Amino acid sequence: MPGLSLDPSLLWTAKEAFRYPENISEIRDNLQKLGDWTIEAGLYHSEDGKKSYDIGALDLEQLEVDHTALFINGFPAARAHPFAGWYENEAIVFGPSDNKVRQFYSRYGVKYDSSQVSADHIMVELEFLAIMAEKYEETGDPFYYMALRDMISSYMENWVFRFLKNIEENAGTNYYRYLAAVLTTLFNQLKTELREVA
Amino acid sequence: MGVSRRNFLKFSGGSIAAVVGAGLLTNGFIDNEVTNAAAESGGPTIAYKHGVCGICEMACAMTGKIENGRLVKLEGKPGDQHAKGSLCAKGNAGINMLYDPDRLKAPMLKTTAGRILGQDPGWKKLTWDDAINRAASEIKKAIDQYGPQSVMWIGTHTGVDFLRAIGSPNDITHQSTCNAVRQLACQLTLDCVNYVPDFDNSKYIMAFGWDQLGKGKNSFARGPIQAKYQNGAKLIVFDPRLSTTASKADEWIPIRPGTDLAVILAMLNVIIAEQRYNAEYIAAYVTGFQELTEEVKKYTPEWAANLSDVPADTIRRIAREFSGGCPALIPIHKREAIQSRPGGFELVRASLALMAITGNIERKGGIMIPRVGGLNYVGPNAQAPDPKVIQRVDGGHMFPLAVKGPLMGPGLYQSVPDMILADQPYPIKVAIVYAQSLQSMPNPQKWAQAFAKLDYLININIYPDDIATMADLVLPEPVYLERYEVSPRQTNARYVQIALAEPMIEPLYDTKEVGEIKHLIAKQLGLDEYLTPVGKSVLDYRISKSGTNLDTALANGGLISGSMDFVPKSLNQLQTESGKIQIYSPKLKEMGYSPLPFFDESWLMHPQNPDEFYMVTSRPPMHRHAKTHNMRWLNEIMPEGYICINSSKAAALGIADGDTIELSTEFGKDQGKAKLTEGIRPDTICILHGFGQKSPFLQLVKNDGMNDGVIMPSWPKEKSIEVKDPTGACLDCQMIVKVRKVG
Repeated sequence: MPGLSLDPSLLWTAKEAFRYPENISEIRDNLQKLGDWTIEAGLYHSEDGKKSYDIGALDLEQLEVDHTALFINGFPAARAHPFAGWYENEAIVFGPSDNKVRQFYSRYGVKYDSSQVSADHIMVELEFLAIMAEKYEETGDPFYYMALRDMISSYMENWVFRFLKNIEENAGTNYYRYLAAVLTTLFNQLKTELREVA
Repeated sequence: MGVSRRNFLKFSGGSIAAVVGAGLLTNGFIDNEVTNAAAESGGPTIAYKHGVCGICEMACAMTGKIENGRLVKLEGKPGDQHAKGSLCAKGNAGINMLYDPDRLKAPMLKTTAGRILGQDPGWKKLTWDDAINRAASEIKKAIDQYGPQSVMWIGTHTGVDFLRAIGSPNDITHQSTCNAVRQLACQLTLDCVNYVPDFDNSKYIMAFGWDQLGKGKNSFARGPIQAKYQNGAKLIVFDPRLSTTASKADEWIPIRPGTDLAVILAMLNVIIAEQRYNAEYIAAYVTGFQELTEEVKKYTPEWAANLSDVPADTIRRIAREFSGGCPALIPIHKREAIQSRPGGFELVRASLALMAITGNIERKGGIMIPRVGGLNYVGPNAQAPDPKVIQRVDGGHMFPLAVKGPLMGPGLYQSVPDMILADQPYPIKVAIVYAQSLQSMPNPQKWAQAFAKLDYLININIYPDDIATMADLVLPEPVYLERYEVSPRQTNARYVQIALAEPMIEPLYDTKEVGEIKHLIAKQLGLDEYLTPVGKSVLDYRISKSGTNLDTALANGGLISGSMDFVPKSLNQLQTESGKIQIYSPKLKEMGYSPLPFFDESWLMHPQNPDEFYMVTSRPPMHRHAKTHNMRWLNEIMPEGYICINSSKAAALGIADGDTIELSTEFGKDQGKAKLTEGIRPDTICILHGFGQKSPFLQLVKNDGMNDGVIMPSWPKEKSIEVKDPTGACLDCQMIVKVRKVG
């Protein structure tokens, strides 16, 4: 099995980027880190990619309103529901998709341990990827590599690009538009890399 | 570094290899006392929890099946006298409400200007500390500048302790559109707020507009059917529409809307004139029979037939059957069209009088006073004085029968928006709206204007509905499946029984129960000592009257039941004026109202033109007012409401089945789909209530029909005085509707 070109810490950062915005400097740092990676990797999504990563001043209240509208209670609904089941037309949280991915986690020895966020939520799935990537980096055990590959191909690929497109199309701030663009690049990279090896 | 960032996932105990082979894992967050055997052998973890349904006031006791931490099924408890082992469609679909992705998930602050129905409020999530501070600050500002009376709480008596603490008399309830008429008539006559029809043992059931089969209220719906088919009871239904109950009846009598009371008074006339009453029973338990005898002499069957289209011979025959000696009853629930017109209060009283003089109160197969299980009272640590301002914004203080004192009684829901808009009797600046829907408010457009006029609107809610859309601050509550509850059986309580609920799962979101919300705001205002304590220990104390506590009772099946034997209650020690069944009321006379049930022909309004109709309302069995329309399973069964119109009459107006029609009154107009049927009087239309939700937030509710409230009146309090109604009832069917095809 090859090494992963992606630093696992980027996956933790991606997960943190979906937290409710509270601290501007942390938000800026996270964004910078993700942006730097795409630029270094030459993976930015357009000719003007570098320029588009310059999001200018960050206003905390604007970010709060945008986050609420995109992921919590937006108008007329959350504009980018952050869980897989929504994109499976389940229209309920903690539905079959949640159950399915919980079972998947358990196959890789990881126990879902939250009652407030569904197991198919973007933050939980990113956390799973981060844990598996770290473990793979530490041990080189192909077991973890399979976990990453299966998570992307069997679960996240089915919904995450539509989710990110929803963010890009509906975000009210450059921050979330930019985040969606960066993560689209990141997931495309993961998808390609893991597929090539498989 | 990674470990510290983990919030949701952790490695299971034991080696990875061992876990991988083990299949599904148990969830750490479920405290599961029931069944782990399956999980140990590789199957799902399954638990069962006790619950009480929160969709309607029947509060059916139920069991929830929790699989791998998710609620997957609700079942009615066989031992519960309300559920009797099954739940209705709405109860089953409670899971949809719990897991609805559109639920409110955290306190929300509106960041856009104005208070406009259907606007994008640009919500920003708040912490609870921030939200409570903002609520308290706005309430304090209003109290300091305009006095405590400028703060009002809308929600069925849930804010009484809070209002008393701040000194406001404005406890606004929706009851004048709902159960006030029945409640006040029962209190006056029988010293109880409702009565229980003993369908199981009845031989004769006479219903006026009562259609619990059609509305799917499980506990009541099965009663007449079992009585008819298991007990051989005769079922008679008076209704302008061939309702579901009417369709199962031995006789359907399509009575003219608004005249049911006339028919009941004529039956009293027949029974008394023919001496078919139970004289011994009357002598022992009834006050006012002589006065009633004199009063009903004028209400002859011929007089009633002329008004109601029910032949005089039919009235006589049914009166004779009802008084034939077999156990007989008249079921009355609430929000039926018969109670939504002038004389609704008199109708309930006349029905009680009919059952009283035939000896059918506290009789097997007649009606019973509910057997309600007692709970220990829990009051605040300190009692706040009564509010200094007695005048209420709804005018309730002018109706002493209904509003017996400050912060008591139902009041006049319908008169509130006009009073707010006119700053009468004083300005209202802050409103806290709890668990109320704009769809259930008569004349919602006027309510929206009134909300827009306030300085601040706080909404405590589960869903982002129309009122939440307008609110400056939205405070989310947990769904009933996430809460503890102690629920004495009340509405249909044939024997003492208390049902208990525990959270089926941990609350999904950042929510708080209304009791805690009140406390936190009161604490910020330095008034929390005046608030009723909340929490599990309080529930423990409340049920300790039954010699148990919550955990023990839950471990023992979640139901505390008394003897099921029928022991008649004493009917000469009631807390009525005379201690007996009170047909004649000196108190009403003293207040300037009729002491006896009576009919006034000036109440009647009639269609004058071919496009004009009487209106009645009903509800479908799969929806409960406006609160269930975003529940997926129910929405799939019935996504849209309709308006029933007689086929022949519709043809004359050029209306085909499924056409869009406009209904208009002097109060407003709205559109919906026509459903043609021969099963309704040609002069009457029937609208299904609860549809017409306009909130863009509710994703499943799109163009779901007409909102009956839009065309309903919001009469001022003077109207209630004019029609001699001591209850201040809403009279929301007191109008004539124009119909025209629009598409």
